[in-house]
Amino acid sequence: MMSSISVKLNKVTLIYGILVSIIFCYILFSTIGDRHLYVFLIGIGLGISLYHASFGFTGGWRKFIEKRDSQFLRSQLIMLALAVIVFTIFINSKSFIYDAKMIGAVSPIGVSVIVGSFIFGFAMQLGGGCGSGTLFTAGSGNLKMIVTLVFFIFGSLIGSYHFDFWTQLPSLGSISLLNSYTKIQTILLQLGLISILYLFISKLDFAKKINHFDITNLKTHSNLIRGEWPLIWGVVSLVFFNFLMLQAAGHPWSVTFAFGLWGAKIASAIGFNVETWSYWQLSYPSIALENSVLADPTTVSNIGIILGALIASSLSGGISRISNINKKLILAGVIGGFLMGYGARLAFGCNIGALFSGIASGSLHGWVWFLFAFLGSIIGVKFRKFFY
Amino acid sequence: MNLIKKFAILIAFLFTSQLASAKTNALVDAEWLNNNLDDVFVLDIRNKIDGGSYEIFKEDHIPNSVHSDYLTAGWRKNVNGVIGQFPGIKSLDQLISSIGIKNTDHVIVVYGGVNSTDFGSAARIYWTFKTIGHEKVSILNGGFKEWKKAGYQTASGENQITPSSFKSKLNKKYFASFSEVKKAEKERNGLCLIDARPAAFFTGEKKKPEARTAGRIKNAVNLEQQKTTSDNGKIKSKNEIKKMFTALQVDEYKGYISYCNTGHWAATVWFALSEQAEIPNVKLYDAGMVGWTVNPKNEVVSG
Amino acid sequence: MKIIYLLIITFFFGTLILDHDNKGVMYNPLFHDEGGNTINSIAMPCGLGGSENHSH
Repeated sequence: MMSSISVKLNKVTLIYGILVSIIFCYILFSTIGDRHLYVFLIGIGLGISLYHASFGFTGGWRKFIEKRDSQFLRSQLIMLALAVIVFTIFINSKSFIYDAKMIGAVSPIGVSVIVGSFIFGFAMQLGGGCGSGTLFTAGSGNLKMIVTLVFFIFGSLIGSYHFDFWTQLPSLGSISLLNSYTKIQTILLQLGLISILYLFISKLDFAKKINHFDITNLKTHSNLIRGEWPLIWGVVSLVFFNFLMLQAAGHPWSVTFAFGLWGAKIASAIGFNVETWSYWQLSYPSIALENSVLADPTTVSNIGIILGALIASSLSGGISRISNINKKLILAGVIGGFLMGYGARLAFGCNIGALFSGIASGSLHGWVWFLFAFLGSIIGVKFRKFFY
Repeated sequence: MNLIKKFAILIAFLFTSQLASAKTNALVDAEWLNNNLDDVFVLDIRNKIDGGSYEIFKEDHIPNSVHSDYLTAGWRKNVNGVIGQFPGIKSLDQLISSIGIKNTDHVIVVYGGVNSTDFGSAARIYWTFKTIGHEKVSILNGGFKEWKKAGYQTASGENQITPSSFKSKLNKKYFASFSEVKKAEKERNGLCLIDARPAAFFTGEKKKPEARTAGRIKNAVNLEQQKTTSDNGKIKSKNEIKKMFTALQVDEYKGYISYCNTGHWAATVWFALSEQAEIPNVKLYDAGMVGWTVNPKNEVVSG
Repeated sequence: MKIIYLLIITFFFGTLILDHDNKGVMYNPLFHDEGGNTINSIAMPCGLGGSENHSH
């Protein structure tokens, strides 16, 4: 039973979350534009979905690596399969909302993405969350995750400082399946690969007989507002909201650019000449640095995710849950956060921007990211034991 | 390397470093240039605005000068849909190195000498050099036309270039950002906007095609660029400029930002106020009205 | 404990809004205008020219 204090706290937090959201809605709509408002609302939707589905990539990979429990990993593959179908159909056509072409998340394949994703995969096990995981957990009241987030920002900034070095190392360039194959072929190729992986993982699972419907099973207290969602609801929501993001923003959902931007703005305010770094002289980064931070769509969706998670957790009584904080966990958050930030910069994104949106966009760098991040996680899970 | 060679290099270094520390004037005249031709780098920027080009340069130019077309060589770039902007230090390093200018060179900018807009090209390049930390730059007042009028020797032929490795060092002393312009409200914080365009643009009667809306930025005063030069494309004297400035009745403010449509005309007014009249704290907002009107939520005033 | 949390995120949101107010929005990366984004030539500066624009 919840104490009256915790009930009050949840109420206060809920009102706070809704109020702040309304304030941002107003600011975005009146001083920037309606598309930014849509991106914000989509962010809130993502925050709510991530929270309720407990869709953590990190924990899911760890469960498979340590215990050969493939439930979460398989649901991620189903999510990728759905996203591949939806995105391949709609990419490079015009958005429903605006007369503008929607483009995919395509990045080069080279040393940078390999090293970056490996570091990220390793670090996310230490940090206890990935790109989206860190955001929604921080949004739902976890103070330790805020530490991780702060160092994520710092790591991204340092990553941007070294960006030039890493991206000048050998690279094959960007490879998008849509450039060489038709849409049907792209869908079939990727679904084929996903199916092979799904079967392979199912074989490796220690459960004697895998119940493939464990992903769709309703839990005893599944509730849209309060309860834990079955994984399939999380899968469908995330694909749905990423699709909406594609429509509203003209490009898929991404998370980590904003962290680098926030870090750069802080550094700039302190007095560092961030604008002379070659990464921050690139086309979009240089505008983003000069512009208001709220003009950056990634920032806007991140704020939405934090607020969405805040609202969702206060509605389901989560805010009052006590989290144990000890020095070792904080240290893990510091190291993990920093390395995630650094790795994500090199790898052109995190599990959302590179893996989820990249694969959905038909970009092979998404698969490279997946592979090397997973390898990094295998090592990371071992290192994690020192801290947790 | 033997001792004598090392010593010679040391002397040469000391000599050139002394040259480097000498203050350079913003303007030079043809006589000065003729006397110092061996010690400077003459940059001829003739282009379509003055009816010139590389071809015309090849026919007749100041001896040892190097040509770089102001409009097409990359001195200004389209940045995110806004034309004519500062292209960034990496791009400028490449451009400047490709024409062989070294960090130690005293650059003399030579324009056609035709009219005020032509002077603007020189002013804009002058401003660009100062913004990348290269203080040793001057404009030949009156441009190539002045050189010809004085009867000095000219040469013909192609560019003779030894590529160099020029390194920029960003100096935002004369560079106004969008947020500075947005916050400039002379009565409130002492930052005065100066619209350098002819009056018809200021009032909104005329509009540059690339700007979304006709008009000016709120609270700006008008100092038309053509008024700061004489008919022959020479910038007016320090006293004349100062008189014009006083007539605007904005002396009491603490900072000034010159703007126009794309930072070309504004460069003339910037040069006139900052370099010729030596008024302190004058900056240039190079994105101009084209940049200002990209976001339709930025207020534009007319009338 | 949770009050500290709310204070921290309020500070965070506050800094974002402060930056917004300070910097303003020059380019709206999501703004799309039919004619607006098609300019890609070096135009004659300021008041001159229109059709004689040439790109480099």
